[in-house]
Amino acid sequence: MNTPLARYSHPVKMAMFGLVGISAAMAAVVFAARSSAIDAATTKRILGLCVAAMVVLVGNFLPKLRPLSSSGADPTKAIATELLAGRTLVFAGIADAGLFLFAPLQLARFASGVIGVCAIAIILASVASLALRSFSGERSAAEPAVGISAANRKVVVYLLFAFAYAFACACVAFLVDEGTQRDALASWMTIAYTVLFAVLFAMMNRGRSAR
Amino acid sequence: MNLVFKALSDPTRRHVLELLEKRPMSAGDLAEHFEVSKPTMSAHFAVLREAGLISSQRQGKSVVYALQLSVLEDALLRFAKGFGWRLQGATPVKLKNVPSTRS
Repeated sequence: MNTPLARYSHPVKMAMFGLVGISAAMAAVVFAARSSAIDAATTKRILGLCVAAMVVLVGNFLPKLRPLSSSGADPTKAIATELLAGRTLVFAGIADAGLFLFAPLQLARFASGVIGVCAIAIILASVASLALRSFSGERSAAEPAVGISAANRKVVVYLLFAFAYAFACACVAFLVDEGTQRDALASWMTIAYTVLFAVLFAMMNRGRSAR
Repeated sequence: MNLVFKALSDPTRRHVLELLEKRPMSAGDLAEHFEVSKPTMSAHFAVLREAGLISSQRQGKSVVYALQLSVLEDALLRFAKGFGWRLQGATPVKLKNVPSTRS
């Protein structure tokens, strides 16, 4: 039977179902905490573990999702950058999971936030370096391009954007203690991501509106 | 996961993955590195593609293969290479243009 999901590749479906499953688990934990079934400290630990699982899942599948493959960059360097980003996220996720399992909660939250920010910085630096090389036209003419289908590319971009938002929010929540400072930061982040999403949406639908 | 283990158990297929680590290559370019027949190489490519370790894309008359490893699969490949992991009955790899170690 030809289902709507049939056009997506296996890694894309695995990442989609994994993220939806972990998000559902997080919602269930929050619901249980609101109904006083779990205490606050345990809730924070379980949510931290869920974030770590999400980071490991996305990191593991990131090189298979090929988010940079159709960016016009050197395919070998794009694959290497995707692999570096994936490894960084997997190591960060494993470290976070270890912290939330064994370290005192305050330390686990702070260290996870720092690890998350470092992981984001490493990934942004490697992607920026790839983008600079591709803008400067540094590409071997002998190397054939490799890409993914348009349907897969679109869902991968939105999936990674949603993950980036969740991960960045989690890092801020881990680093900044509850209070007005965190609320203000959360508001600014929501505004920034809304603007970024609008830009991304316009870029993704550029071809369609031009027709 | 069984398909991944099966694909990584063969030294020829592991060598194909090593070559693709350097850059995406066409089937012809890859086949040049091995002293095996084209149908045998096609069978190896099919196993790797079925396991999801490589992706293929038709470009003109040739098919271009590129590496498509998850972080876990990449770690498994390194583990398999490090320990010379091989299933009994797997075809020994025959490489072309490799200088002899004997003096």
